[in-house]
Parts: sequence; C-alpha cells; structure tokens
Amino acid sequence: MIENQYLTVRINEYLFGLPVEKVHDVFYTPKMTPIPLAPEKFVGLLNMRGRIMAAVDMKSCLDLGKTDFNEKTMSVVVEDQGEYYSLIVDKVNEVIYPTPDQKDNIPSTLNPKWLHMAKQIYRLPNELMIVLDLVKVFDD
Amino acid sequence: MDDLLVEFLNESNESVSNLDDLLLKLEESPGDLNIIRDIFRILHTIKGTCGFMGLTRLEKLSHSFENVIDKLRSDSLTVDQDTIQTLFKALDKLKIIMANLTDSGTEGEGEDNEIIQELNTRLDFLNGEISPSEEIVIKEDEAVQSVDLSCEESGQDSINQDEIIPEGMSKSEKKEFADIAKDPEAVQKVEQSKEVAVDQPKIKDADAHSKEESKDGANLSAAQSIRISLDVIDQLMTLVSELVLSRNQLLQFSNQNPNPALGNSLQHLSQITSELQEGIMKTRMQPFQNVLSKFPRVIRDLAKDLNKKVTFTQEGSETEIDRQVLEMMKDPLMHILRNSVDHGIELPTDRVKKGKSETGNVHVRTFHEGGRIVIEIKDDGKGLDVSAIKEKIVEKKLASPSELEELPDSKIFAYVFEAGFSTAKVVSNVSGRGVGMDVVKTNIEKIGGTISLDSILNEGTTITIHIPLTLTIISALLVESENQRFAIPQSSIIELVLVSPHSVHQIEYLKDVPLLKLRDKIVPLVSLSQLLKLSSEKKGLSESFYVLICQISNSVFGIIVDRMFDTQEIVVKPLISRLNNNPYFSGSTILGDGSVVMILEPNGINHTLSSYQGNVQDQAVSSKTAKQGQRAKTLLLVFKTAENQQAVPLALVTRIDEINVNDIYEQDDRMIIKYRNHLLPIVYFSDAVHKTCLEKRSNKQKSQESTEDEIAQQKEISVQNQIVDELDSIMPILIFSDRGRSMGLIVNEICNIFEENLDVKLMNESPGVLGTTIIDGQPTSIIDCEHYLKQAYTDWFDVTQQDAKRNAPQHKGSILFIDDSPFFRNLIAPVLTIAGYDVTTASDGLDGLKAYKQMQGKLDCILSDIEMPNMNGYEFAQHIQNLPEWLPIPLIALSGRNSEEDFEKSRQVGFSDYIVKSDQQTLLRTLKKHIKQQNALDGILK
Repeated sequence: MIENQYLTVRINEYLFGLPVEKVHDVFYTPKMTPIPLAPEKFVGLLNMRGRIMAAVDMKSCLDLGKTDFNEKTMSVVVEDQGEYYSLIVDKVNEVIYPTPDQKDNIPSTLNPKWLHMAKQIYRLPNELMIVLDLVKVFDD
Repeated sequence: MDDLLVEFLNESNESVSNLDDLLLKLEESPGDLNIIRDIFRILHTIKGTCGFMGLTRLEKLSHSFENVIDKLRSDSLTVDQDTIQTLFKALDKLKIIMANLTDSGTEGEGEDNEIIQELNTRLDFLNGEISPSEEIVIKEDEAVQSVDLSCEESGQDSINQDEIIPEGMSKSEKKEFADIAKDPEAVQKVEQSKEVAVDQPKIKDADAHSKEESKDGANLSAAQSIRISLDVIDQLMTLVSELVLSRNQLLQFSNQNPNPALGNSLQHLSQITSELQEGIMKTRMQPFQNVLSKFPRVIRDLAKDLNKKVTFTQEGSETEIDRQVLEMMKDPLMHILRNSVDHGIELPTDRVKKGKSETGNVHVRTFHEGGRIVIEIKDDGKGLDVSAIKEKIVEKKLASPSELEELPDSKIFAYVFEAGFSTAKVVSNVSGRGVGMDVVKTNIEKIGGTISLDSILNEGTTITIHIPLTLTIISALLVESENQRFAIPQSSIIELVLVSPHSVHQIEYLKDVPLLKLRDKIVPLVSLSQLLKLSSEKKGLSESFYVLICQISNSVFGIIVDRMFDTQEIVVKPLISRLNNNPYFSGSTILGDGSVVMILEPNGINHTLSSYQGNVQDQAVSSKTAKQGQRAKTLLLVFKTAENQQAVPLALVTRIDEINVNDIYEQDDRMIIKYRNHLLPIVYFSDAVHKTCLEKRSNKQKSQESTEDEIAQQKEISVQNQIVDELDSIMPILIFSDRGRSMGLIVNEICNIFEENLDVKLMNESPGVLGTTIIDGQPTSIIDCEHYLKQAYTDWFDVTQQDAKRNAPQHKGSILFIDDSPFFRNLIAPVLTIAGYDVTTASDGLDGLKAYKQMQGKLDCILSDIEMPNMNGYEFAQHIQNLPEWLPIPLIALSGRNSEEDFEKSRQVGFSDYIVKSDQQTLLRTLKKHIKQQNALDGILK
C-alpha cells in the first residue's frame, strides 16, 4: 500500500511527511535562477534533467525564516497537476508507514497558517509528524 | 475511454472532415461519381465500425446517409440542392454525436429520427424522380431494407449502361463496372460482402478497401502516417534538449582534454544529435491545410446566409507550420475570413452593377518568407473606404481630423485594428459587434506575429499576416541586469544602443523619467532592474549601459540593461502555472551550460509602459480639469549659463547637438560652422559663452604653438591630451529651423527638459528675454527666439517678407490672435509673422471683439485661446458670430487643453478647428489650410 507511506523531511526542528506517491526525486539543490517579482516562497527556477522546475522554500511557506543555501541543501521533487516543484528542506529522512491508530486530530490551536496547510497529523514514537497538503502550500 | 473507442474517434474525425470537403466538392460538380464513391466508402467504413462498437445512433444515421449516397452512386444521379442540404445536415448531426463521444465516451441522449426521416424522404424523392433499371433497384432493396418498395412501379426503361459509367475510368474498369451494373447478382454480391463485413470490421476494412480501390483506382493515397500523442512528442522534445545539453558538456570537456578518438566519436554524436533535434522539431509541424480545411464549409454557409456568392481558393496550403502556432491562428483566421465575406464581398446584384462577376472570391495564400510564414487573405470585394474610416476615427475620438490629414492610407487602415472599431454600418450576427479586428491583432501579436491591411476601394482588401515558424524555438538575445541573465526574443528588437558619457545618444530626463533621444525620435525607457525590482537599493542609471530598442506594433521603447551577450536559439518552456501571472515573462529556457534563464516578454513590458504613460496623461488631464483656469503645461528645455538658468519651449527647438568650437569660422563678424554638410550660422547665447568658446580655442592654439622639441617630449602626453582636448572643445548647441533656414545657438550647458506650467512672473526685462519663471525651484529666463534668429540673419524678416511676396503677390492673410498671456502672444505672434501673416493681437474676448470691429472685413482668420479672463474663447465665438457685421471666416481654437470635451465644446460653439498649443507646425498647417479654403470660397462667391 503506497497510500499510507510518507517521506519524512525535517524543516528546522519539525518533522513533516510528504505522501510518497507525490515524490519523484530527492537531490542536492543545484544553482538556481531567481524569479523576479515572484512570491517570496518561489526562490528560483532550476534545471532538473532538462526539466525546469520552481524551487519552493518550505521555511518561507511555514513562516520559519529563509533557507540559507549551500551545496548540501536538499530538494524533494514533487508533482502537482503535471507540473514539478522542488521543495527545499533541511534534511530528508526515511520513508515511514504509520499505522491508522497513530493518526490524530489536528489540534485546532495550531498556528492558523499551519492549520490551513496540515492535512493530517501522526503521533510517532518520539514526535509528531505533520502531513502537508501540497496544493495549499503552493497556492497559499 | 477504452483504446478502441479512442482509435475509432481519431480515425472517424479525420473521415468526417474529409466528408465535409467531399460534400462541398460534390456541390460544385453534382454529377461526379468519383466523389460520390469516396463519400460512400467513408460512410460505409463508419457505419461498419459503429455496428461493431455498438454505437447504434451513429450506425443508424450513417446507414440512412449511406443509402442516399448509395442511390446516387448506383444510379449515377446528379445531386440536387435540397439533397445536398440534407446531406450537410446529416453530416452535422454525425459530428455532434462524435463530439459527444469524444467528451463523454457515450453517444449522448438524442433523437435522430427527424434527420433519418429527411434522408429517407430524399431517398424516396430520388427513387421516384428518376427511373432506374428495375432489377438493380430490387436487388438493392433486398440488401438495403429501408428503401421504399414503391419505386418498383416507377418507370421500366432500362438505362443506358454507358450513362452510369463514371468518367475517368480506365477501359478495364469500365468493363468491370459495366459488368457489375449489368449483372444484378454481382451488385448483390458486393452488397452482401459488405453486409458480412459489418460483423467483422477488421477484415472488412481491408476487404472493402481492396475492393473499392480495385474498382475505381482513384484516390489511392494510402495513409503514410501514424498518430502519436502530443505528450509523447513533447517528452521527446525534452529528452532531445537534454541530449543536446549533454553533448555540449561533452564537447566542452573534449576541447579541454583533446583526444582524437574521443573527438571523432563526439563529432559523430554531435551531428546525429543535431539531426535528431531537427527531426523531432519536424514532428511538431503540420501543414496549413489542417486549419484551412475547416474554412470552405464556413464560407459556404455564411455566403448562403447572406445571399452572396463566394468561392474560396487557397494556395500553399501544404506550407508547414508549428502545431501550436497553427492552433492559435485558427480563430483569428476564421474572424478575418468571416469579415471578408460579410463586409468585403458585395451582394451579387451590386457586384454586377460594378461590372464584376457575380461570384466573389476569397483567396488565402500561404508561403515562407525570411524565416517567417506569411498568410495573405485577399478578397475582391468592395474594399475599405478611407474617408469612412477617417470619419469613424474622428467619431470614435481616436484622432483629430488635422492629425489624420497627414497620415498615409496605410496608417489609416491600421486604425481598423484598434479596439472598438468596426466599420460595418449594421450590426449583423456575423461581425460588426465592435469586437474583432483588435482581438485578432492581439492574438497574432501574442505569438510574435504582425498584421497589416491594404485595400483599394471597390477592388478588394488584402490582409497580410506574418507569423513565426515556431514558438518553441526562438532566436533570443541574452542580456544581463544586476548580474542576472535574461533572454529576449530577437524578433522584437530593432536596434541596440550603447549609452556612455561620450556616446552619440544621450539620456534626457523628463521629470525623473529617462528618455533616449535617438536621432529624431524620443524613446521612452524602462530599466530592467527597476521593472523587475532586481536590486533592493534604489539607484540611478550607471555610467554606461545598453538600451534594447524594441518595437511592438506602433510603439517603440527602450529597455535598459547592463550587459549584452550573444544571440542563441533557445527552446521556450512555459512557466509553471503558478508563476504565469507575470506579464513580463513568456517562459524560461535552459542554456547550453545547463543554467536556467527567464525569457522576457516585450509585449507585456510595452503594455505596462503604455498604461503607465496613459496614467500620467490621465492625471494631467484630471488635474487640469480640477483646477480650472490653470495654464497648460509646456515642455521647456532648460540650459545654464554662468549667471542664470534659461529655458526655451522645446517645440521651437529642432535639434540639440554638440559642436567642436574649433570648427567655428568667423566671417564679417558673423559666426558660421560646418554642420552636416551645411553652413550653419551660429550665435553665442551670451558674451560669457563666447568667452568660454574663445578660451577653448586658444588652449588648442597654444598647444599648436609649442616648439617641435617640446612636441617630441610631450608626444605621449599629447596623445592623451588630444582626446581630452577633443572633449574640451565641445560645446552644446540648440538648432532652430524654419522655412528651410537654420541657426545654431551655442550655450554653456544643457540641463534638462521640464514640463511646466508657464507662469511668467516678470516681463521683458532685457532684449532676448521674454520673461522669468520658476523652474525646478530656480528662477529661469524664457528666451526670445526671435531675438537670436534676427542675430543670425539680420535679414530674417526681410527675407521672409520677400519670400512671402515672391510666393504670393499679397500677404498670406490677416489673423486676429487672441490670448490673455503676453508670453504666448509674444511667442506665437512672431511665428505667425515669420510665416507671412499680418497679425493683430488681443488680450481677451472683449478686446478681440473690439479688434474685429476695427479690422472688419480685412481679417482672414481668427485664432483664439479658450481660457481667458472677462470673456473666454467659447463666449467670444458665440458673440462674434451674432454680430451684425460678422462675415464667416475661419475661427480656430488654440488651447493648452487636450481633452475630448474641449474638442467637442469648441466645435459646438462654432470653431472650425482646434489646435493644441505649442505645436508650431500644426498651427501653421492648419492656418494655411483654412485660409486657403476661405480664399477659394471667396473666389466662388465673387
């Protein structure tokens, strides 16, 4: 069952889950071309094997500041409606298979922005993992 | 949707569009059996496949359709108009069902009985009207059940076998055909074999094909193509681009580490890659025919609706064009063709009256020219009436009559593409709704094309469209601004200009807005860095930079960039949809080194630029209307002398330039300089300027006087000094021209151009000065040009008067000029005098009335300001026309206001024309025109 698998990524100290079926690739972020006049979160365009995609700084999306780029900065390529985005994260961890009973309600007291983007929340043994709704992340 | 259905739809859509074509041909030559047979074959295939697929609606409909065609075919009948009409209807119905299939995968709810009934009626009619050989009919009826049996009783005369043999058949075919016709069983056999085939469509297809083809050898063109999904092609494109990039990297590596073996293989790889790229590009190309094939039918239907007779001819429809471009050309072309038929082609009776043939023609010609595709749409209709267009332009307030006077017809026609312009007097459901040609133009420009129109009244109209071959690969110039690279399509760039402190072209400022003076044009500029906010700090222009002069339809503007690289062929990749709302970018691309650059969209930049300018104008107008009586703004050129700041109305200056003081010659106290192959008399603005020039010259002379030894010693230094000298001896000059004579005014330093309210504070303090005003916080003298003109040509006025005498025995005319501003009276009166008019001035409406009474009968024209104390221009116009002694002479309004309401109001109160202040040339032209008309009128009256 691919549906309940998540690629976990770390942004600052938080753990987020990306649905595996949406993830195409993970790689070190190459040099980017800035996009003038674009929303802040779209930090640049990059060439991924002949395909041009927009890099999205997840920190900027989540109000966690801005990513300081270096050659070890990780990108996770996800697809949405036939278009490709590269999510800039701090660290890419393993793929996990949380069980349904680990699922919990999203606390309504969450930061409104996070509340809007969070799709699900899982109680993992050591911490919480927020599953992001990518469409909302891009559109917000 | 399952694959089988998709395949069926692909195939059938093609067949159906062929049917359209064939039916049209059949209408033209109603007896052509070859065409009928083609139609029959297509229908038969569709019917067969439908049966197999379980598409009952389609099957029934195509079956009835086929019956009629079959009847025509087997009896070689000539098709009548009504039948054709029904067939077209049936075809439309087929298309609707197919569209349903494409959309939803089902045939959709609907009744086809009506059309099937109609088809059957036609069949009955065909059966009843003409008496075919009985046996054939009977046999046929056995096979095709829906045929009415009553035809059996109709005429018994057997038909002449030769008659049913279509033309264009070989002897053996004729024989075979004759045999079939003769032998009813053979017909039955053929029919049966087809009926069987319905149940086994796969076999049937091949079977029926081979049979039909062996029967009538024509249209043997076997399909040499396969269908590939566009996604696959796009993916291949991406991969090829990728391959090209990898190759480029390899080549680079190989250049750094030469190795013959590697080099050879690479050479080979490189070549194959290029060919592969070219090949993939080709797959995107489609013949223009694909778009044209839809038009004959549209034109036919439209012509029918409008009771016109129109033929549609085409040339070069095999020209290949990128699929994407083709797609975007569809709607604009359709619109133009509809326009041609609706507005262009006249009714048959009108055409005959004009001595043309009853049937009009619309011709579409497509060809390659200079790496672009040209589409020409030509009709032989009534053409465009230039005067009607002019009227419309004025009515729509797109331009004033005096502006139009000067324009060539081609420029007038260009207005047809303006928004809200439609010359059709009656709004029809076809066109003339006022949306149209402007949308066409926008769409064509969107894909980097251009459109122009030419027309001769009563002979026809030709619309020419230029479009790029492809949108995916464009030639682009790479530029850099703030260390960021961008690509800009080369097609929109007309010129590149380097601006540096010593370059020919310089930037001038108009209220902080930079402008480039390029030869005789002023080009608005936009800095890429500012436009795209590339730099967080706000800074002025750097010392040296490049300007890309772009042209989008009629507007020319410049984009300021820091650096320029080479031009490259780039593959345009669309931006992701979430970033697509920025008008300045059309996409992005990957360069040879793998980096991504954004592609600029000159159209979008132009749009922002013009809307910005529009805003400025709007603001100017609104502030004008808000503060009643405020003086109009005038462009003033400001220059400096040591002691003071001076200004001159820009409208009076022909050119701003620089001269070398060493080129000045003195001749009998007069200064002359060789300037652009002419001798130009010059005047120093002031003694101080004169002194500066002399100093600069003496420096030069001093260095020339130095001894040879010194020269040898200083050789190195002097080389450098020479350049400095060159610069040192440069002085700015203002050039005034009038009636073919020019003079130069040397000044110390040209500062800027300002748009200011001319609020003259102090009057006439010294010769050469009209008054003083405040510009940019500085007291500034407005100089009196006349004073300097006289210095250059002591005989300036004598000459002009002599000139005037020579040209016309009397003076050109007497003018009463009313303006409350002494400045304007002083500015314009000399201009008019120079031009050969006798000028009387008045300071307001009342004063003007008085002057008119005194001058009564001697005046040729009255020129009046609008905003004036005591009695304004409108009141004046109304009053003077009510005077008992009023003789009708031209009344011309001269105002600083430039709004439509003012135009309109002045016309209502009786002004014959309206001129905007400070445009000297228009003023003189308009005066000349009106006085000439007046003289001509007087001549007639006398």
